[in-house]
Amino acid sequence: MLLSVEHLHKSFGSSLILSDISFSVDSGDCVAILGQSGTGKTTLLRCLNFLERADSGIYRFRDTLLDLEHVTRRQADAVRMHTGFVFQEFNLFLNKTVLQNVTEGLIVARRVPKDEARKTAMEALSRVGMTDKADAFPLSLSGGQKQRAAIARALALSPDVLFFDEPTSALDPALTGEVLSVMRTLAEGGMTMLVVTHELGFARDVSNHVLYMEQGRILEDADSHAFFTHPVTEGAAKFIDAAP
Amino acid sequence: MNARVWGILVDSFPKILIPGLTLTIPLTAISFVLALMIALVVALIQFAKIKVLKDIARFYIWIIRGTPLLVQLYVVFFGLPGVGIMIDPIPCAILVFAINEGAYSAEIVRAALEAVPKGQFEAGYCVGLSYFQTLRRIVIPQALRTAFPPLSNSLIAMVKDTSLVANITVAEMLMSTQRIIARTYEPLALYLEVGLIYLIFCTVLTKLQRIGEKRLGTYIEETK
Ligand SMILES: Nc1ncnc2c1ncn2[C@@H]1O[C@H](COP(=O)(O)OP(=O)(O)OP(=O)(O)O)[C@@H](O)[C@H]1O
Ligand SMILES: [Mg+2]
Repeated sequence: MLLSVEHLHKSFGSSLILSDISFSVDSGDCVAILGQSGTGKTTLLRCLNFLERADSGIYRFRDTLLDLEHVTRRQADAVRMHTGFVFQEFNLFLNKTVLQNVTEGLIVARRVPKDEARKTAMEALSRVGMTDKADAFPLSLSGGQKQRAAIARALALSPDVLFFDEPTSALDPALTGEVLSVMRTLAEGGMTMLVVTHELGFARDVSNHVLYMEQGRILEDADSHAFFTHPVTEGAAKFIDAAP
Repeated sequence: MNARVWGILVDSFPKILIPGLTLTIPLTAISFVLALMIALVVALIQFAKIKVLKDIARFYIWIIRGTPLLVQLYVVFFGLPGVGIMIDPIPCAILVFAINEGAYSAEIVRAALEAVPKGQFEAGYCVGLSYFQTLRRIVIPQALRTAFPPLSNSLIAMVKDTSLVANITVAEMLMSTQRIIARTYEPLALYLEVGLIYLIFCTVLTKLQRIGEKRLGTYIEETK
């Protein structure tokens, strides 16, 4: 088991956004997190990377056990060292080239020598087919290129798990394919991934596990094939049927 | 225009220009650099919401923006000697201009910092950068690009505001012009002439601003 969460709760002000979330992820899993808009999928993913602080719960990551109510910054940083995050809005560093985006974490946070960082970064860029854009600035790229660069940035740090928050939702339909195919290759290569997505095709074909959420709760925690062929709850059945 | 006036204009040109080069420009340059340092610190204090210091920063901005520059000059130059603090006219001018401009520029820099999308910070944290590393390497460079045009504006305004130091006995361009007028009785021609010299200075700065914007904005220019 790579990570697990038990009884995670999270409120914004007085509204409970996530309630009693528990699940676990094994190394090599590709988990799709599905559900209607506003059910807390993004918030859950952000809690796992401490971009948002959960109110309570137990978070096991590799061999560390964290009480989410009292996580120190050092503990949060330690988890982040082993995770990568891919945002819906890419969030590439706008003042840096694609290559610099990828080397930034290596050089500044990991203190990898520049030459070595460059090499690692170019390898990561080649995995997403972006070596020819290494010296371009993010604002000159298409959405699909931006997202592939962002994936390379996360990959370069060799994370144990990659979190994706709707990686294709901000893209033109014509550009989602190139990003999804990069993700598929990663999953097939054994990368552990948690993917919030509205792409049910991807969830069905690529992920091996599904978490289906409604109103801040996990309603179904199932093998991907089982989820799509025999959803247990009525909500999930409707959700699957409603998809194009 | 007759030959006498031409003669006066030609004769006075270097006499006005020289204090411009030796006073107006250094005074502006030194004051502005100091102002930028004040502005960056005051803006960052507010942006990072540092307790107590943040309130001091707001108070400083409130006082400075709420009172005329000329009054500030008078308080420091004519007022402070009353409590035993004497400052020479030029250091006094630099001090007042830096503190005054610092307050205005702080607001420009703060707004520019706040305009950087929050996602830039989050992406920084996710690749392992600390708050200050993200600030220094990612957020501040982008904010300075945004702040550059309004800051250039302030610089150009300051060049002209230095004419106020004539009021505290500094013989800068305007005072030199007035002295020549007192001798020659040609106010129209001479005031136009000093205006022209200010215009030349500001034209050069405008050109420099364009170059600076290009340099700082390579990451934006490429897309066009
Ligand atoms: N910073 C915040 N402050 C207050 N409420 C928030 C905040 N972020 C999210 N919420 C609320 O939490 C709930 C869950 O939001 P979240 O973004 O996690 O949903 P989601 O499942 O990712 O939705 P979508 O599919 O639209 O992305 C929503 O009701 C949202 O309004
Ligand atoms: Mg979301």
